[in-house]
Amino acid sequence: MALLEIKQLNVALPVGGSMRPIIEDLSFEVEQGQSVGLVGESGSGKTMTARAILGLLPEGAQVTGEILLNGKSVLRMDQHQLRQMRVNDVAMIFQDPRAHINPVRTIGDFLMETMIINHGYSKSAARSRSINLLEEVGLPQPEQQLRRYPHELSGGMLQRVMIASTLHSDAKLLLADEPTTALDVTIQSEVMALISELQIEHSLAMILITHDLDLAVSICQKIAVLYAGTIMEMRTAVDLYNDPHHPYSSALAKCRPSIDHQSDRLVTISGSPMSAFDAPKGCVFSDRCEHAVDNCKTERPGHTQKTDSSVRCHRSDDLRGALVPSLRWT
Amino acid sequence: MTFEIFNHWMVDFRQRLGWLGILAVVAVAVIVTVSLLAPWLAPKSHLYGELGDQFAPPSINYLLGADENGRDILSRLIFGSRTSLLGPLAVILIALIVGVPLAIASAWKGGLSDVIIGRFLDLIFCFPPVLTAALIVTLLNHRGLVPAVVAVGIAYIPWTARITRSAALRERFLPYITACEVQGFSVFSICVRHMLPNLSRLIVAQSTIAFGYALVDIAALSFLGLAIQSPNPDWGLMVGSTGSIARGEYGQAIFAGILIIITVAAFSIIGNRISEDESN
Amino acid sequence: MNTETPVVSANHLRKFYPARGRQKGGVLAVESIDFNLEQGHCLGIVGESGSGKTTVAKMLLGIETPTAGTINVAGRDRSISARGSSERRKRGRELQMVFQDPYTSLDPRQTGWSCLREVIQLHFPDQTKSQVQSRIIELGNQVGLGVDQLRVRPHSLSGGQRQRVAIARALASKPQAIILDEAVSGLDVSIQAQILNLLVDIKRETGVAYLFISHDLAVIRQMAGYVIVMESGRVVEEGETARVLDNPKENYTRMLRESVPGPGWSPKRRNLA
Repeated sequence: MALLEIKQLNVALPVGGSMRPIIEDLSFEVEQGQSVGLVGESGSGKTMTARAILGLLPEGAQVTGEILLNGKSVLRMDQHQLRQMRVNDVAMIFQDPRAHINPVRTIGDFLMETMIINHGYSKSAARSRSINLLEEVGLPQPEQQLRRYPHELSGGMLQRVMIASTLHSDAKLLLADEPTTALDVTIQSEVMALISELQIEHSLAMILITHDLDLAVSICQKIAVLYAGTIMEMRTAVDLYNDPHHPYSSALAKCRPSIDHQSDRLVTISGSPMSAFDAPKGCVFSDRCEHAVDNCKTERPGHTQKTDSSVRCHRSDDLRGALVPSLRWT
Repeated sequence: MTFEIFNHWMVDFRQRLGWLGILAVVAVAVIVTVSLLAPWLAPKSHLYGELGDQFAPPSINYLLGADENGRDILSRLIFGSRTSLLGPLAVILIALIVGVPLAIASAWKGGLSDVIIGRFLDLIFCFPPVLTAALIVTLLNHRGLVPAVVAVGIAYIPWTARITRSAALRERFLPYITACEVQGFSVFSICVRHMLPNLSRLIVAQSTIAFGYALVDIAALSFLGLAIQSPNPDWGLMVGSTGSIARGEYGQAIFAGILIIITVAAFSIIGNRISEDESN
Repeated sequence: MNTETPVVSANHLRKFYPARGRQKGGVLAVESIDFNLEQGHCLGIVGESGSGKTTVAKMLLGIETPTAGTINVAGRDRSISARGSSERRKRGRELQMVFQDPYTSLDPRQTGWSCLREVIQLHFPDQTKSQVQSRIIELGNQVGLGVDQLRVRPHSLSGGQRQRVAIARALASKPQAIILDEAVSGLDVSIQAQILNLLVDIKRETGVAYLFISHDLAVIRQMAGYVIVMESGRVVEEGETARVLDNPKENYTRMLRESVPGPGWSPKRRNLA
C-alpha cells in the first residue's frame, strides 16, 4: 500500500461569492521512501495540494475525492486527529523559514518545544537531541546556535534549522514547498543536497514542490507536472525530461535559457499560466499549446495510464518525436 | 454594462460592510439628512420655549417633552445634530490639513526634520483638548463652537500625523515611489499624486473613527461650558443640563446621550470596516 | 552622437555604509567596481545576496551617493546627487530602471495608461494630447500590451503584464540605458522567456543599452555579452560571458556555475565554513 494516495481530488475555494476550482481531478501516489516532485507555475495548484494533504485548506473550501495517508483519510479527520498527523506523520518545510519561526524565541526553544510538549521529552533530553539534529544538518557549534535568535541566522541556516525540526519526529512523509526558492543558488545547492541525503538516510518519502523543473529532476525519482490544477504528465524524472509525453512538460523545459549557450530567441509558451478557474473547456492547456487541434479544445483528455506513467493529452502518441529536448539528462 | 458595474459595486459594498456596517451607514445618512432638513423637520422652535410648559411630558405638542425652559426637546435634538456634525467635521479638517502634510514631509525627509517634527507633535500632544480649549477661551475672551473646534482640532493633529506618518514611511521606500524619483518627478508631485492617493483609504478610515472621538470631546467641552452656549442646542449641553437633572428630569439627557452614542458608534463602525478592507 | 563614448561608465565606484549608533565597524557594500556599457550592448552583473549588485544600481540611479569613484552617464558626470528636480528629470531621460517585484513597482491606484501619460508629459511637455496618446499606444505595442490592458489597474494584470508596463514606463523617456535589477526573477518560467525575448527585441529596435543584474546565470548567459561577477562587494571576475561561464578562473565563479541545476546536475554538499 502506498504511503500517500490522492484520488480524484477536487478543491474549490470561495472567491467573491462564487466557488472557483483550484484543483481538478488530481490523483497520484507516493510510496514509502519515494521522492516525488510536483512541478508547476502559478495557478497550477501545487501549494494547495500540499495544504490539502496537511488538512490546512482555507475556510469555506469545497473538497471532494480522497487523500489517504497510511490508509487513513485526511479529509475526514477532525482537528485533533489532524494535529496528531501533523506532529507524527507529516513534516513540512516552507519556502520562507522566517515566516514560520517565532522571532522572539530562540532556536533552542523552537526545536525543544515540540519535543517536550508533543513527545514528552525532559528538558535535558530535548536539549541533547536538538544538538544532535543541528549537527546532522551541518550547523557549526550547535550548542551556541541553540541560544541564538532567528534574526541572527542567515536564510540558509534558518532553513537548516527547519529541516532539523522535521527530522525529529517519526514522520514518514516530508513536504517541502519551494524550500530553497528564497535562498542564494549556492546555498540552494547545499540545502537541497542536505534534504536529499537526509531523505535517503531516514527513508522518508518526500514531495518536493517547485517551479524549477531542473531542480526537481535532479532530486526526485518521480515527477508530476501540474498545470491549471491538474496533472498533465507524471513519470520517472529523467524519462520525463528526456522523453516528455506532454507538450507542456516539453515546453517548460525548453523555454528555460541555457547556461551553456545563448539562443537567438528563447522558446516560449504563448499566453500566461492560469488556474483551473480560468482554464478553457476541453484540455486546460489547449489555448496555449502549439500542437492543439480541434478535438483538444472541446474534449478534456483523461489520464492515459501506462505502467508508472500517466499523461493527459489527446495527441501524446502522435507528438512523440516533436517533444524531445535539445539536451538530454544523463 | 453600467448596471452590471453598479450591481457589482453594490454587492461588493454590501459584503465589505456587513449588516452592521449597512446599519451604520443608514444611521449616518439619517442623521445627516435630519441636520440638513432641520428647519423643515423641527416641529417647534429650538431656541425659545413657553415657560409655562416647563418639563411638559411627552404629548402631541411636545413629542419628547419639554426642557427646563419649556423648549421642545425634539426640536432641540434635531437642531443639535448640526453642531454635532459640523463641529467634528471641522476638527477633522483642521487635523488633516495640518497633520497630513506634516506627516508626509516628515516621512519623506526623514533624519533631523523627522525628529524635529516629531518633537513638535509631542509638544502638542501634551496638551489635552480641554486645557487647550480653556486657554483659547480665556485668551480670546470668547466662548462658542469656534474656539472649541480649534482647540480640539489642534489636539488631534499629533494623532492624525502619527498614523499618517507610519503609513507614509511604508510607502516611501516602495519601488513605485522610487520609480517616480528615478523618472525625475518633483517631490511635491510624487507626494500629492502618488503617495497621498495610496494613503487616502487609511486617512478616511481613521478620520471616521476620529469623528466619533471629536464629537465626544466637543460634547464634553459643551458640558463644561467651554463650547456651545445657551440657548443654542447641542447634544453635549443637553446631556449636561443641570437645570433638568438637578430636578430629576432626565429626559433630554438620555435622548441626547443616546444620539451621541449612536452617531459615534456608526462612524466608528464605518471607519473600522473601511480600514479592515484596507488590510485585506 | 559619438559612438565611442560608453553610455554608462563607472570608475573605482565604492560604497561604504558607516556604523550607526552603537554598532561597530560599517558595511563595505561595494569595494571598487569599474565598467563601461556601450550603446546597444548588455552588461551583466551577477551575484548572490549581499554581493553589492543592487547597491551599484542605486548609485547609478542616484538613490545612493558613492563614497568614492565617478559615474558617467550619457557623457555627463553623475557622481554627485542631483540637486533639484530639473536635474533629476534630465537624468531620467538618460538612465531608467525596471525593478524586480512587479507587484510593488507600479502605483496600485494608477492605470498603465495614466502612468505612461504622466511620464511622457513630464519629459516631453510640448506634445499635444493626441501625440501623447499615440506615443502611449506605440509603447504598448512595443511591449505587447493592448489598450485594454493599459486601461486597467495593476491588480487586474498578471505578473508578466505588470512587468511589461514597467518596461514601457522605462522606455517612455527614451533613455539611452536601462538597468534591469532582477527584472525577470519574480516571473513564471514561461513568462520569463517571453519577457527576455521582448527585451532583446526592444534592444534591437531602439538601440538602448542594458545593465542586467541577476543571480540567475542562465538568464545572464542569454542576455549579456559581458559579465561582472560580484561577491560581498568585491568584483571576483569579469569578462565575456561565454568565457566566464565556460572557463571560470576564480573558485567563486566556479562554485556559482556548479550550483545551477541543469541536465546531469545533482546538488553537492560542501562543508560549511
